[in-house]
Formats: sequence, structure tokens, C-alpha cells
Amino acid sequence: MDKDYLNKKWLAGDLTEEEGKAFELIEDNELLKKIVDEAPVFSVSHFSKAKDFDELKPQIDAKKHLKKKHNWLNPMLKIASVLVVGFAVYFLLFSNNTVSIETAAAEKRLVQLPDASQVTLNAASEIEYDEKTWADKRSVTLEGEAFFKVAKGSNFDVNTAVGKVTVVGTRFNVKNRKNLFEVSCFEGQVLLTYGKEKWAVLPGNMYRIINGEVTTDIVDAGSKPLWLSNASYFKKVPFSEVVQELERQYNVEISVDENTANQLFTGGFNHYNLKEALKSITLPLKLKFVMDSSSKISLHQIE
Amino acid sequence: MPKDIREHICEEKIFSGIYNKYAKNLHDFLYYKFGSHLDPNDKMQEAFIKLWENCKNVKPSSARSFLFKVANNLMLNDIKHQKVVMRYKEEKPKEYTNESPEFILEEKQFLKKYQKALGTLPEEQRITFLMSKADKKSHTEIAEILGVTRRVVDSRVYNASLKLKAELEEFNNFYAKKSSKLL
Repeated sequence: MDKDYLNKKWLAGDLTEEEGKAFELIEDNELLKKIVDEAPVFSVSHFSKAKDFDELKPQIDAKKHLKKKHNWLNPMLKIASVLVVGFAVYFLLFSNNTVSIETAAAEKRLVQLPDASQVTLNAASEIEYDEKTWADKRSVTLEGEAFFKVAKGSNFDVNTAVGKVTVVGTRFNVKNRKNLFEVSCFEGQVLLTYGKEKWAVLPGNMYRIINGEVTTDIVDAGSKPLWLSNASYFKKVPFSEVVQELERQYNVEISVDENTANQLFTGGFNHYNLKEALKSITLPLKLKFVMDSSSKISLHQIE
Repeated sequence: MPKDIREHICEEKIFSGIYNKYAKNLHDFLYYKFGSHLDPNDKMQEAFIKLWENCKNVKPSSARSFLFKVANNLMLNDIKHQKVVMRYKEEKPKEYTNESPEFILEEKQFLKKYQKALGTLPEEQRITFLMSKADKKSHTEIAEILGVTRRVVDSRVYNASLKLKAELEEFNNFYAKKSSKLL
């Protein structure tokens, strides 16, 4: 048998019995045996032993504390960043800086818009505009009645449930009550969009829409609406509208029978004396008024 | 190879199990590879601390190669081709009281030469040879520790023995004579 082969197998420790005998017969193998026999004197176990886990433990525990700290900190950081992003998104998307100004009954108010434009709100009216986008788009939403003094600049839109009024720089009045929509132009030019139709309202002109019916009228160009001087004036308007206006100006409730309510009325009343105002709307129609209480009034035909 | 039940080894119980399994082998490996003058214990423990720091990313099955690689690199960072010296135990387990002074002298010289010869062996051969013959580990066991095949272990041990025999050739006659005398 091959000597090298046997030596190799012997070193690997898997000689068969037969091979073992053959190995013993190999001559001059003493040195190899001696080398292997003496090898244990070099064993590491005489000089150095691997330390126990207990010796490593303190160091690992120290690291563990560090790790724990991070474990606690990480979710907090996640929560915090979610909150920060959430707030940022909230402010960007949802707080659109809408400004809303409302007047109560019997109250008038002058509102300064972000540019030099001014709006005077009549009683029980509301305007809304976006302060942030004002520079790009001058647009207000109106419910009720307001007089606009628009500074020169880009288009100025007044949106109402009935129609849209677009102007460039002018003075005009928009009245948007229950069944009555009026646009009066006092200076400049106003574009009125009603459904699909558009009209240019020139100074001194007024467009009135009652129950979907469009009529035109004239106003005193160069002046301003009468309500700004604490008076209301009507021309061929259903009496019910007049009564409602008076209700808004004095914060009262007025009852009137239906026949009278449908009559067309031309005339006006002031905003500072209830009795005088009542007289001025009842006398032309031969009515009398009864104060049922301080805020309840009923109108009756004079028999 | 057992399947990894757990993704990582951050639990102390699992980690200490890995320590008990690999610490000694790693320590011995470092000693045989780099000799005694660098503290193998230090590097071994440092490697385990590194393993703990990365416990989330290391699966139990890859812990062994991670440890050996890290420890090896730690050693290499410390030394650059330093001469490796194997120490031997001066006191032999068996005392031969009836040896002649000539024999004792020869014996001492043999061990010195043997020690030098081990230092000149290629690292892989020295590690494998000493694990096999000094620590009496089976070749299968060594193959598992070193992450090589059984065949590789066999040939490394054999090649180491050839080199050692060549280095220690001068003692051939002496021991041959001695054994024949004994016979």
C-alpha cells in the first residue's frame, strides 16, 4: 500500500484495521509519530483559555442600555415627525385663511379688504374672502347687500348664489336678498353674469332680478346707495321686500297680509327712527301699524 | 444546518448560547493563527461585542462567519506580518526519569526546532494541524469550525506534516535509532 496514502489516512484518524497494520510496518515513520506525539505541548489550552460569557456580560449590558435608550427614542421621534408633518400639511391645506365678516340685523359695517378696496356691509349680510390668495385673485362671496369701492387692479369678483359680478375698479352696490338681486353701478363698469347671460352695467344703471325676471333701472351716477346715508329707497318693488328690509334695519318682526305684500311699492324709509320709517311705508298704501310689542309689529288696512 | 427560528440574536439567552458555542474555537483559532503575543481573548471578546452591536442584522446561521471575519480583521489591524511564535509547555506531562542526559538535551532541541518549524508553516496549515494534533479535534469538527470541507482539513494536516518532517529531518536518525534501540 502507498505510504503517503497511509500517512494521510493515519493523520486524519480513519485507518481501517488492515491499513493500521500496514501503517505500523512502514519504516522510518518514527519522526512523523514523534511530531504528532509531541504536538499537544503546543496546545493553546496550556497558555490561554477563552474567557467566560460572564466576563463579557457587563460590556454587553452597557451596550444594551444604550440600545434600550434608542429603542425608546425611535418611536418617539417617529411620532414627533408625524405630528410635525401633520401640522404642516394642515396649515398648508386646510387653513386657507378665509376671512368671514358678518353683520347682524340693524348693523352696518365698513370692511377694508387686503388691498385698498372697501366694502360696506348692510344689515344682516356676510362676505367671505381668502386673505392668502387675495394678491392673485380678488374674489369675495356675498350674502346680503354690500357697497363696493374697488381699488384699481386685476378683476374683482363678487360671487353670489344668483350671479357673479366682475369689475375692474369702480364703485357699485350688490344686493342679494331672498327673492331680489340688484346690481347698481355708480362709477366705472360692472360685468354681471347671471346663468349664461352677461350684461355690462354702466354707471347710473341698475339691474334687478326678481324671481328670475330681469329688469333695468337707473340710479344716480356719481353718488352712492341711499342705505349708506341711513335710508332705503325702492322703486316698483314688491311690498314684502320693503318690509323685509325694514325688518333687517330695525331688527323687528312685521306681519302683513298677502294682498298687501304683493303690491308694488315706490318709496323709502330712514334707518334711525322706527316710527317715522313705519309711517313712510304705511301711509302711501293706506295702512296703519300696531306695535304688538317692542319688536313685533302688524300692519292693517285703514277701514 | 438548523433553520433559523429567530431572525436575529438580540436576546441574551440566544447570544450566550452562541458565545458558548464559538468562543473557545474562535479563541483557539486566533491563537494558532497569530500566536501568543497578541491577546486572543481580547480580540475574541471584541468580536462578540461587535456581534452584539449588530445583533439585529446577523442571523444565527451567519454568526460564526461574522465572528471569525471580525476577529481576524481586528488582529490584522493590530499586526502586520509579525513573526509568529508558538509556545510549548516546557514541562511535559510524562517525566522520563530514566533518560540519558544526551536524550534530554536532544529532546529540548527537538522541541525548539519544532516550535520554529510551526512558526514557518502557512497560517491555514498551522491552525488546522494544531487543532487536529494538539487539541485532538476530529477533522469533521475542524471543518465545521473553519467553514471548509473535510477534504481540505485532511490535506492541510497532511501537507503540514510533510513540511514539519522536512524541517525536522535532522532528528530522523536519532529517533529511528532510539526506537529500534527500545525494540
